[in-house]
Amino acid sequence: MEESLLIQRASEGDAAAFNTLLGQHERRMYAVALRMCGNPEDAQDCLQEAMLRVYRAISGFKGQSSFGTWVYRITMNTCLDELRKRKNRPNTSLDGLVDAGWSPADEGDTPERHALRVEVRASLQGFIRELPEDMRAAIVLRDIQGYAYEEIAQMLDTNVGTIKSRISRGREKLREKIAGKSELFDKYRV
Amino acid sequence: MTCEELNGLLDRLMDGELTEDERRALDAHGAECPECAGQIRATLQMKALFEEMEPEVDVPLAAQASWRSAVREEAQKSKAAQVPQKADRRRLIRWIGSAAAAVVVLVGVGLALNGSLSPRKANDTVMLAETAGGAAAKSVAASEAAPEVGMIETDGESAAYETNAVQEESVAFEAEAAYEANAAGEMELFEAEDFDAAEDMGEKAVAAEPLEVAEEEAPMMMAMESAPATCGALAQQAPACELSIRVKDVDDACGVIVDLAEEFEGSADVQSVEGGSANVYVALYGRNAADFLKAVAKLDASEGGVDLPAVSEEGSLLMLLVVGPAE
Repeated sequence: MEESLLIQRASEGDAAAFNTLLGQHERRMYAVALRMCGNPEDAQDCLQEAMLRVYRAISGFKGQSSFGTWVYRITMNTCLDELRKRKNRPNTSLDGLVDAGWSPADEGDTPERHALRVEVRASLQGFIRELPEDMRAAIVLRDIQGYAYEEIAQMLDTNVGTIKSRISRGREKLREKIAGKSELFDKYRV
Repeated sequence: MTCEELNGLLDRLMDGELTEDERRALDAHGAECPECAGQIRATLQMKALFEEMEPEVDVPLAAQASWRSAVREEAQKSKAAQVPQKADRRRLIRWIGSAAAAVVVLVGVGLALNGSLSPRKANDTVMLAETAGGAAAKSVAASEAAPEVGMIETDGESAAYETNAVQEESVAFEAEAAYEANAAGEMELFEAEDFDAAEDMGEKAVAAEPLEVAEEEAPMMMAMESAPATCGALAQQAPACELSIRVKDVDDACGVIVDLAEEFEGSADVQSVEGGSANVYVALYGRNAADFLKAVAKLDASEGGVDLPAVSEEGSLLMLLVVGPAE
């Protein structure tokens, strides 16, 4: 069914239409939540909360942006709100993150290569998790989710200049941490 | 090329936007400067690893089921909460609520006026309203489609409402009390075929016996909601009050306000504004509003503090907090 028709029905409270419509976006929403929250449990909580917020707000969607942009904006805001609430919680382990969301490993991987891959991926995910939230949001949306600067500015309700600055500083921090573990990263990528 | 110039190119390297000349210059500098070589390498490693991260991730089945059923539940709840807000029903209820003697309108076909509580059809509804004397309505499960029952607080007494899954509308009713009151000569009963006819009857009843609609009684009807309406729903209204505060860190303060709103059983919506300020719309129960405002006022960093606006303790309200950076 056409997106605009689903949106209209969902705006009228049609839960089935809503679920169909958002079913097309849930994997991206979850990807964002996973990388922002840093663990699958919190990401799933955020996903659910974001879905409810979208449901409550959908009658106010007037096409001011694409529907997807609007949805991911709400998703990101939900994640940022949750992160602010949980500021003092210790970070969970990185294990749950290495399975989800990475391209599959080569079948020809030796056990050593596989272990190296896991360690490198976990390290990077850990570095991302250490970034301040605003920087993390910009990096996730740009470098992982692949959105353009203008879209990201819309999603994070700020201007392109601010976004470019956050991305630049975020990448700088990540670079320094990767360079700090150069032995590991050099082994993985020639 | 200097190290600083190289640093400036790393973002475009990451975005794949370097020209051939730039790339050659970059590599040439890297060949002579180990630190920059490290930065280039780290950038390329980061780029390659990011490319291994998929922009879409499968959602675990349990989580998929969980959000879908949460949405369905929300749909049921918001249909229930919407009814008192519908303009026509609110008008009808308000008028009835202001009547010296309550008027009960029965909407439906085939409802026997002999005290029987089970409607003949699934879409029969009974609508009651509070009397000026304040007797609240309580619901009785009478529908054939087993409905959910929710509670609404009104004026300190409880009214329960039902969601009739078939009709998709919630109405507060108490058939039993209506019949008793009718029998005792305290209430009139009318029968109507549908909601429009019921509204006509209500209007005629009110016209026949002119009422003074006291302004204070209207908010009593507005209080018939099970939770403070979300900011989205209340945003149709203008804020009932406004407060401006100045803080050292606007983002931080907004985060705290959102937390406070939740602690006080409400919800908040933050909107950034030009110049680094934020507008925060907060939906709260009236009874929590004063305490909430006191807590928010503590965030203010300006000299002389803030004057708190007066707020009604009735029902739900929407307030606007303007959070600006301190000088």
